[in-house]
Amino acid sequence: MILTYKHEQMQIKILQTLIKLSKLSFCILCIICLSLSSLIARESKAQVKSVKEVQIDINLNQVSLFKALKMIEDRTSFNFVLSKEKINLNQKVDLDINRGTVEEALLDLSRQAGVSFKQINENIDVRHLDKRKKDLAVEILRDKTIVGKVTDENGNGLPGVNVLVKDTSIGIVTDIEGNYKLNVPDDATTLVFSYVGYLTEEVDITGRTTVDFVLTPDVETLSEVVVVGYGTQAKKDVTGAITSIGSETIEQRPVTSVDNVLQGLAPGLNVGARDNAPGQLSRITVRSIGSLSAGYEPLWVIDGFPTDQRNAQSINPADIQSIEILKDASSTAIYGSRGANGVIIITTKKGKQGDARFDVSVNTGFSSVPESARYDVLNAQEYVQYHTEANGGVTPDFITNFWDGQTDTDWQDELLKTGTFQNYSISASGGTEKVTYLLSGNYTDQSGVISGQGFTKYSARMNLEYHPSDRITFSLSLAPNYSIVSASDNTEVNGLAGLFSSAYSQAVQLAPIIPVRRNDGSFSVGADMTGFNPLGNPLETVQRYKSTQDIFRFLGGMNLAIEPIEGLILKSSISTNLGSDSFERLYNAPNDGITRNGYPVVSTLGLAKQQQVGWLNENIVTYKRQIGQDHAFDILGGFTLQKDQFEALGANVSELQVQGPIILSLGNSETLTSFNSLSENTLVSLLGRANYSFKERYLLTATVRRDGSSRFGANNRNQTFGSFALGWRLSKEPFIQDLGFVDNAKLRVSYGSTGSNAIPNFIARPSLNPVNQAFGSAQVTGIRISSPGNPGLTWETSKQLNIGLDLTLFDDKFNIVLDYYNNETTSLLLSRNLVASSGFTGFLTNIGSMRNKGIELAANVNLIENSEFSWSVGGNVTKNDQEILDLGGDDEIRNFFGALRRTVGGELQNIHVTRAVGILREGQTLPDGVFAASATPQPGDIIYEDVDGNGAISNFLGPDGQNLEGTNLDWVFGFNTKVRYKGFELSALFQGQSGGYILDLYNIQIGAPSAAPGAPNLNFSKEYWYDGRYISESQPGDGRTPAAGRFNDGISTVSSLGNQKTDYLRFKNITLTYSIPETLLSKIGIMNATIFTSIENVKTWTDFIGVNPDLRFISNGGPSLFGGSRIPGVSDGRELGLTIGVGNPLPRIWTFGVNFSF
Amino acid sequence: MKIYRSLFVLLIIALFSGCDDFLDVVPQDRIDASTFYSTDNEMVIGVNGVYAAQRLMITRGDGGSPLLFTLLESRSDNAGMDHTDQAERVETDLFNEGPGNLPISGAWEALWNIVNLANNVIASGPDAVGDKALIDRVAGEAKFLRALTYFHLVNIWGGVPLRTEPTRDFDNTILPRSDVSEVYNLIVQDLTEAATILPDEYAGGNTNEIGRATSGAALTLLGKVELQRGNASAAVAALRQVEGRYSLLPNFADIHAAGNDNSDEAIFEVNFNPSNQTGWGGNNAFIPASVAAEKGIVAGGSNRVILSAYPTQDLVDSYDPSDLRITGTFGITTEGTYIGPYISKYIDPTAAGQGSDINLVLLRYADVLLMLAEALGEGSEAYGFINQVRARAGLPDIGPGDPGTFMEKVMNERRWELAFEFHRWIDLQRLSDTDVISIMETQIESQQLNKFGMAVDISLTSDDLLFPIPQGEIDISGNVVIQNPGY
Repeated sequence: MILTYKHEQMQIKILQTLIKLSKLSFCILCIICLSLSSLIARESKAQVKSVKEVQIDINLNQVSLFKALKMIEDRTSFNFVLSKEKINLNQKVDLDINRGTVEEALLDLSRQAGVSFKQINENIDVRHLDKRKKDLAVEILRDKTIVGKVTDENGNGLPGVNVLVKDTSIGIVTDIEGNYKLNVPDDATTLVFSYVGYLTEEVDITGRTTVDFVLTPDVETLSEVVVVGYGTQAKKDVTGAITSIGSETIEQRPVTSVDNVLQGLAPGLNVGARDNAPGQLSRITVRSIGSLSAGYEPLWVIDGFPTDQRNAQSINPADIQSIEILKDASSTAIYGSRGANGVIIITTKKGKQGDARFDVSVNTGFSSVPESARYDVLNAQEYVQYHTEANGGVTPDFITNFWDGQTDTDWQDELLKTGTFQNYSISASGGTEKVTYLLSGNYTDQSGVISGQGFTKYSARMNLEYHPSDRITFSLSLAPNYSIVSASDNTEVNGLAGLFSSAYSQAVQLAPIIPVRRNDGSFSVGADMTGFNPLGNPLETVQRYKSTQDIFRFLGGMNLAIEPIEGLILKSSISTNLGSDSFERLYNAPNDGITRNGYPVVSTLGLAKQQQVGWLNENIVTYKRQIGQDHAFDILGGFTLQKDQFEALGANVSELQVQGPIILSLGNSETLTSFNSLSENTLVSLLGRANYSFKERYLLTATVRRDGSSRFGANNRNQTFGSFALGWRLSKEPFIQDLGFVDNAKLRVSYGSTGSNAIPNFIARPSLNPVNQAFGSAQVTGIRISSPGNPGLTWETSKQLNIGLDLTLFDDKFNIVLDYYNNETTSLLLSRNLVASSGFTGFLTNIGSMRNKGIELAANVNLIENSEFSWSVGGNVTKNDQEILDLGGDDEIRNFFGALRRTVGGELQNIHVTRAVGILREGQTLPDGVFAASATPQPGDIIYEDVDGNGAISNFLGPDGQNLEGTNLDWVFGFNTKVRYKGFELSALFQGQSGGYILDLYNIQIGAPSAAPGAPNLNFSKEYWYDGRYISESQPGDGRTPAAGRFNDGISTVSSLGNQKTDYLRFKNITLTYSIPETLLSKIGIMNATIFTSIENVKTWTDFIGVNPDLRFISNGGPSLFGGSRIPGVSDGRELGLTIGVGNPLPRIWTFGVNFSF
Repeated sequence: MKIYRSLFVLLIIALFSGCDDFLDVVPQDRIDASTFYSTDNEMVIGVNGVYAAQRLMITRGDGGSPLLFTLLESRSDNAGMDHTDQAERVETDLFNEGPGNLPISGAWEALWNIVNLANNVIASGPDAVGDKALIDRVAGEAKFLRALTYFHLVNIWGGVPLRTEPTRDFDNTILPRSDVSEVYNLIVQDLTEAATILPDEYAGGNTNEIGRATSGAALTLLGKVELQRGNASAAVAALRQVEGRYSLLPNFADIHAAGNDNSDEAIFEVNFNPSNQTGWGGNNAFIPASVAAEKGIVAGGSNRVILSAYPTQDLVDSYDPSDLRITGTFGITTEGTYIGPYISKYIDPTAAGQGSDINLVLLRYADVLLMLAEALGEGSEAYGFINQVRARAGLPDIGPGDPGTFMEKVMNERRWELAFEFHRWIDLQRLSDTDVISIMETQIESQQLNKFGMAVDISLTSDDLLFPIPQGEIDISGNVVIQNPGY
């Protein structure tokens, strides 16, 4: 069997062996691990013979004590266990036993080596001989069996509890029902019960054979561990601003990926929508956007691997153990050049020692868009009424010529359907003391509320840990994921034309007087109506356009941790991040030659493949030591290397001769275009962190990281980041303890710097790209400048101050976390404007600074808590102030055609428009400084503020344009409540935001009622332009909405009429759960089972007119012509405080599910 | 333990050595700009890029027609714009643009991009290795292209910063405006050099493609430049060298016909070729959708109720109804979404999704004949040149006895012959300010009444004859670049 060595010599041997392992043997080890995973817990031996009964023949001459013991071990079933005392195993001994017993051999050894033996079952403890008890050189203890059940405070059996005989290594873990059976030496007096989240307690077992035990939860919850960068830390010792979200918060939400679940859960975290269609990534920021033009997204770290949001999306939410959001420099500086935007760490579940356990989760549901969540447009009667008014009271010809007087199509009703949702997860976990494992699989399928939209995901995970000894851990994690995002319109690829090509936009824009189908049964299109925008029919669009994105991700890693001496852990890992994306976009054009806006008249096919290969090597040393009662150290140092490579290849072709097949050569070869790209970046880092705690009262954390990144200019590749933090556990001070109601109080202060390297690869290098040119029919290649380059380019640095207070009061009834932060980003990566006559409009450099400061408050109150009934209420709120401090000498930078301005003293972006102040009334004499656009205005015209007082109104770029509202969200909040009565639990989550504006260019441009006489056009927002319009002096409307047809005065299209408040409060989720009593379940072998039902996006209260106040609809590539300071390739433009189209509506999702374990 | 420690130290050392290499990632999917233009072949590719940038100047547009068209044709009395469109797109049509106008700053950027790329080629010429004759020729092409661009710049904005070196030092990019005469001096110098170094024609084939700038193109442009700055005799001297080297095509419409690239009449064209992904798509904005459908143009036309650019009634009415050039210049549609005259000069019935195969003719022989006539001044030789052009249009000869001044007759002929070919606004600059102001005021007022039923009273000054320098240039330069008067 196994000899448990605790001797240095042997440790060295093992280490040496491991160190010698080459890559190949690493692989072999993996395979061994896999085979070991099938090991099942060893059964304890019921009948063990005494050393007096076992015969042995042994003849040894001047061998080491170690070898002698090994010999006995080999020939018998006994194991020797070395105590912590140092025993010289190298001393030479002789043995000559013929047909003797093991006891005789041991006695002999005892005399020679001065050791004593104590048999407990098959184990023989080896100790120094106690000279006072010579006769006890060999002691045989008889067993007694203790049985019992360990339960929690509610009487539920707790599986996996460690039950240990005090001061020995004899122990076992409880089974699935919490039962245990343990053979203990008859002199054992005390059992120790320990379990994560519960107090470790000792029980006297003298004279008892049945020991049932109720574990007491660790009320202070201070033993809670949170995941921090490159390690874990006891929550009580944390000095940074970290919010931890546990698996229980995620498990019952009907979401397909983790980013969908975070909204409203953590202070400082803001989650918006990129699109409401299935499979779309959310827009996530931590403590607001701190950069003008580099990336704003937090770093995602999945089981230690720094990666991106797409990888996070591919994780099965049920596999997640916890999510930690790292917000201040104390916690993020360890991520150096990638920490400035915050860090979100996802930790997946691991197996626990114990019997195999299966967790199954099945849920299914459906989604639909309630009337209130739709974009409200005019019906036929209203549409005719409006255009009649606009036409001077006469129904215009385009209506009388086209409309049958009956047709009143509700295009959204026609298009929107009920989506479905199903999600199946199963995981198996368990392990022995040597191997623990978790294997899981997940299938998710979601279809959208628009035909053809969907998200399907297959994911699997294996987390394996192998402990060849209690000083060595080898772990392996493999997580392949495959998902498919499908769409049925070309919004994503079509840039600005997507305004007309999204199926939902078509449904919003098509006039209600157009029938769904023509008389011959074919689909109507906009072009059927003379003078109407030639929109496609959404029902036809979703049939003809097919887009799929196949996403494969594989995140895997091997990890070896060795603890050569107590407290010192050397950890080395190699991980890899493999991915491939495959895009396929096929449009089968109808061959009627009729234009459909945003779509070609010929069939087109686009294919693209992207591949990414990344690897990471981390080598981390940690050392933990307690000196005396007062000083505790925890030091970490490490070296990491990371490399990511991307490769893309794609082709597009049009004029497909045969519809349907995915064959590029079916298209006209003259239309074939192809592209490829190759890119890579590398990062070399040194990192270190020291934690020190004095008397558990004063805490100190210092962090440093030095990063070298290939992304930056050759002159500026390396930079050091660091932070310093202090914590003061007030609750350990007598004057606080005297108050009596403070369970925990901790004051935290941190200051430090982190960086952002979120810019495209190679942008620091001056480079050229090929460009096609022709002379007549001769085709040649030319070049254009793709990047002016800047060899001095370096990091954005964010200097972050955080002051926080953690409070737990009145026996865990009140939990409060309060943080103040002040983040100042300097050396902003910014395109510095150049005079355009230089041939460039700007080049990327480091200038300027901006600041986000704010307050975050998270509170949780357990109003009632007892075994039958509990009620808790929690919430969080963040207040953020944003200010641009410096723009490298410029006063302002124009963005998005100048409609958004970055101004010193302003927010990240302020809306810059001509301010509309009302509607001209009949006979009204306009006050000074207010004019209509026209020199001869009519009642019902829009009037504007004349800023320069010249008596005429200019457009937004002229003197009457002014900076109005900012786009920063002043307040972001979420609150929740949970009520439990016996097995029933009801929880609800609300979230919202306030204080931010966006410039809604949709409602004032494409979605504005067209004014030109004889130019009937798209349907438009009823709330925006119909309700409240000026009709006559007796019906003057709301004083904001112009008379029918009076909108397009040349100024209004970029005016404050488009400034919309994005305030909203959303009833995000309600979930009802019922836990089936164990008494029923145990009969069918099930550990626990819950059934639940939930509704997501129950209701939204908002004044915002549109589908979703936190959605931004903007072209994929962003503005190219006059874009200002955007850096291409960094962002999708959705961080802009601007929307230019109608996004997909936010569906309500009903889910029913069952979770059970056995 | 010692062994273990030293192993760990070794590991770190091993990993650190070679860190610099690890961080020095060389891009493989782009061309390193710092070493380019160093061989004859790279010089050819470099100058091809200048031609491509010139093409982009034409294709670059905002809301419909090309930016340069907006500034040189829609600005003039030839074409109108859609005043129901976003205001900033159409301000230039009614002379109410400010220095923040977007199409103007777009055109400014596009033109300076050409200058900078040409400067890269010209500056690299002396150091490039390889076939010296080829390198010199390529530098000559770049000089022609730079001169053409400066000619546009100086006519749109007046004196502009004079840049002759590529921009490489981003800390020193600001240059003040030079005088108009200094800009012209550079143009003339470039063209004089180009005329001597460029071949009369190209053989075709690799690096010798037909369509590159020729000595004829340089001389024609030189003649145009001299005429524009009032040196009639220098203009005659230059144009005389082109006389007879090209000929008028018998059929006017063939000049702009799809696929009829670099014809006998063409002297310099901006080349488009759909099969090379360099087709011209912008012309669709000129063609109403109903006309496109009628002509079976797969690529379709504009769906607008009012086209983003269309012929003014003034232009339409000015033609002799028997002028054969009418059909090759404009059409009038009475059905469909758009009703009224539209530009038919650039219709390509074979155009598909990747654009049309029409080259944009910037210099052609009819222009040479009319410039010669103008430079020579009234006389029989001048009328002879004019009448060559008129003959093809099926119009009778004119002479001193016909009504109007000689200049009016030349200008009208140029207007009819060269409408929508990016000449009109430049041609108008050769008239007196009062004449231009009068022409524009009359035309705009009648056009507004005619098209939009709007009575406008427009009053222009000499300041309106130059466009405003984009505000960004002025702001970023810290007022080193100064604005034109009146803005």
